Amino acid sequence: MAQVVMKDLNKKYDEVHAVKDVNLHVRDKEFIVLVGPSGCGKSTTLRMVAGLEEITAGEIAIGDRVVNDLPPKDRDIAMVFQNYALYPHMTVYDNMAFGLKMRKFPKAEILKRVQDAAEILGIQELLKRKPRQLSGGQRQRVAVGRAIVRHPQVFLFDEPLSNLDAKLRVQMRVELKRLHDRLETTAIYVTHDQVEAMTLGDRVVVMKDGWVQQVGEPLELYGRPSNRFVAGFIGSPAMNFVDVGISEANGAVWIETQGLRLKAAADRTDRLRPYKGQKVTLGIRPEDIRLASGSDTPDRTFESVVEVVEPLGSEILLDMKIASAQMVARVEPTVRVKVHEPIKMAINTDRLHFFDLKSEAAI
Amino acid sequence: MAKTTFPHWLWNTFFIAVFSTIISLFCGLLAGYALGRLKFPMAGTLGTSIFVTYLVPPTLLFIPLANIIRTFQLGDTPWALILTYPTFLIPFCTWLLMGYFKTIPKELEECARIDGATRFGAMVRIIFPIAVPGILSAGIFAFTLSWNEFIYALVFLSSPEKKTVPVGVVSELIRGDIYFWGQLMAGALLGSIPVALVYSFFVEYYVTGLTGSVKG
Ligand SMILES: Nc1ncnc2c1ncn2[C@@H]1O[C@H](COP(=O)(O)OP(=O)(O)O)[C@@H](O)[C@H]1O
Ligand SMILES: [Mg+2]
Repeated sequence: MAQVVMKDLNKKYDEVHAVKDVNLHVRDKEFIVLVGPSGCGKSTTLRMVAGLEEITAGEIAIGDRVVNDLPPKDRDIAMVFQNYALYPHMTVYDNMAFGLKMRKFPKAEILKRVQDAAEILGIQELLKRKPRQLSGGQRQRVAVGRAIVRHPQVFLFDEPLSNLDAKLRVQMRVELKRLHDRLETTAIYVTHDQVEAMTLGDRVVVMKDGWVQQVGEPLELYGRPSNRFVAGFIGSPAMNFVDVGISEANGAVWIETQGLRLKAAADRTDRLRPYKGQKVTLGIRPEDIRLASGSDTPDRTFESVVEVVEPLGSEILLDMKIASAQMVARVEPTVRVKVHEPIKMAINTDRLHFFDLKSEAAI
Repeated sequence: MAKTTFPHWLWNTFFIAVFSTIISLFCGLLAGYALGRLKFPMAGTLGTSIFVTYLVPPTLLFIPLANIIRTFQLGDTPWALILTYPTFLIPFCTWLLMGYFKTIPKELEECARIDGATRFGAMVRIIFPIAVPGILSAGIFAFTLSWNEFIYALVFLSSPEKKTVPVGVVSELIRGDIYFWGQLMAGALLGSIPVALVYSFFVEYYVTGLTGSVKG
């Protein structure tokens, strides 16, 4: 159990600057998730913590030790890979015992630890098998078991669930979370799946092009994204973006574009006022758009045409067209609407997001 | 005369083939690992140039090699062949093993290094055991190549009792234009039996070695 501190971490390959000035403090016992699109430098960051990639610049400390120059075996970490990386010529037992054998643990202790781990993961019956005789889910468990027998200071996961089918993935996700609650070991988890990130992470780190975009608790990222990229990346279906003009009239700030004229909520007016006469990007979460009712005033409603209805069972997604843009709304499963007919929608104007057009930072 | 020296030839050939195979396999294993698994500048170019050396024909090399053999006074001893066969066997083994190592996922080795092995330890405990089919194929091939080798054996060995089977059969059982057909055929057959045995014994590994990678 230990904290992990990354200071001004950089990684350059010959042509690619894969990781740029990453500063991150992973707290003791924390489950932190690195998430971002493919190629954004998540794996590279993780592999630098593991000692599998050289650090170009910066510093990594695990516990109180700076580990920059330590080989992987001396860092007291365990890693689970996307393809599981089980040793094909060894039985499940030997796979799990390998790390302990290398560290010269006594036989009895190895046996006990492997059996404990096998019990936690429900793989006692598989101990004598070879990896090729296992299903994907079972291999996954063995890979996790191999990591936990060592009682390392930090767990590293690189997309461990990506090779499983959807149903198994959800199940393993829950199990991993439960396992972390039980073992209380610091964990760094890499994934490109934002749902996985949100459900597993105590905190989530969103990365793009080697830069850290935002670090925060899942709901913080969802509710207060610090820039347009995070806003669009977190949440499914994604946030709707429309470029709008800002104006002031009758003591209120107005958000306008063709087919849309909304009054900004009172707590946003101060921040929006400097943008008067300019354009900003408006972000609306799909669940903040609903069917208008009689009590909705015109300064929060707009006319649109529903083009596609996606009934998902627990909710319905409406793909709508307004004069200037395309938007998705997430509405109650009881709502019935007709396609291709005009419909009046309302927006929760106190939940809108605004982003600077150039810097894309949240306003 | 054939009756008395044939066992010698068989033994010579076997002795030479085994030793040159062991030397070549050892060097090929390390070189193949380095070229296939380690990241260093020009690794690709080096790999290709090693393959190219394999393509240089022995007929071109035997004169300079004969010089070297004479300098070290190894002429007419088995060592002349044990030390010259690796000139084509090492590139061959390196190339074959390099290809095999590349099919083994690098995560296996990385995982072993995190699990507590050094780079060398991971190579010996994880990569080599997984590469056994490839190593066996390289070994069988190397053994066969040296068993059948003709030019170097013809040039570097002269005493009848020191010859290898392919050379002995041809040079001792053909006198001018007289062919001792019976002995010739018998010698050729007997000479090919060990190779056939080796093949059939390892055929299973041998096929996976040529076709196969490891599925995790
Ligand atoms: N060994 C390597 N050599 C050169 N470039 C690499 C290497 N590994 C990764 N990269 C590059 O670094 C960037 C980040 O890669 P990676 O960390 O694997 O991304 P991801 O976030 O998908 O895990 C990518 O542009 C990738 O092409
Ligand atoms: Mg990756």
